[in-house]
Amino acid sequence: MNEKELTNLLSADLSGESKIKESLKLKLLTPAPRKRAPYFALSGALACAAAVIMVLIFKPHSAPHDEYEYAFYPMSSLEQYSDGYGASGPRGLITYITETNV
Amino acid sequence: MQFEDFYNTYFSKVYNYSRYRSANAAEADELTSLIFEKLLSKFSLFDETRNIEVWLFALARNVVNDYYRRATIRSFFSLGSGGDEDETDVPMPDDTLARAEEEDGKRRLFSALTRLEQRERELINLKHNQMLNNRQIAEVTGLSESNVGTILARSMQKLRVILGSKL
Repeated sequence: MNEKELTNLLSADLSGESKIKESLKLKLLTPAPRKRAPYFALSGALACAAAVIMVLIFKPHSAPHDEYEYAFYPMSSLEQYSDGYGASGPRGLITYITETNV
Repeated sequence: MQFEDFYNTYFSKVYNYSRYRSANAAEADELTSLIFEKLLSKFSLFDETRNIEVWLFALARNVVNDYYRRATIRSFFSLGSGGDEDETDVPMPDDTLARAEEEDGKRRLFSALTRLEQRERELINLKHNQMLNNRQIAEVTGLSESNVGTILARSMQKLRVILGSKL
């Protein structure tokens, strides 16, 4: 093989060998179909929908109105006294019981 | 430029580049397909001020290198021999004498090219088939311009010796 033959051979177009020229072109130029949503995204949406349904069914109760409550319990035993000693006062519970004959 | 025009213009260049870097025509088809998929995904990002062939071959080079890196990893974990790199799959010659001689020349050339290193084959292709100059080859491969010249000269000498010994 002489130098000229080598040069010709090296510069030869070999693309005639290819079996994919037209099929690849078609594949590349045809828009790909929309990909389906991945399974995990769908399952996430289902979980959100279930949470919304649960909230609608078991609605959280609102806090009771104070006026309504105190109408029935004007002097709750759980109420704190402002002097810090409670219902028996600073004398102590025993003295209180003795004096009031509770 | 629309992608279809780009494809029609550069298909043969991309195929020839793949063919020089692959073991056979089927592998070249696979590489060509991978390169065009990558080119399509990056086509809108192409900077028109740049040389399109330098951009094209730099991208093609990355795709081919990735392909062989993955193939090396696959063959490392594979039980098969994977020793088909030296095989060439040039179609059988037709019955006409000219065609037969051409096919014989191609067969000998690709048989000789398989004895060169990947980098040497790539540089020979970029220089003598894609007709890029040394500066453009340097830009594509990341080598220095003088290094490209040295490797090319050595590679061509090696190729001549291999082809000469086969005569």
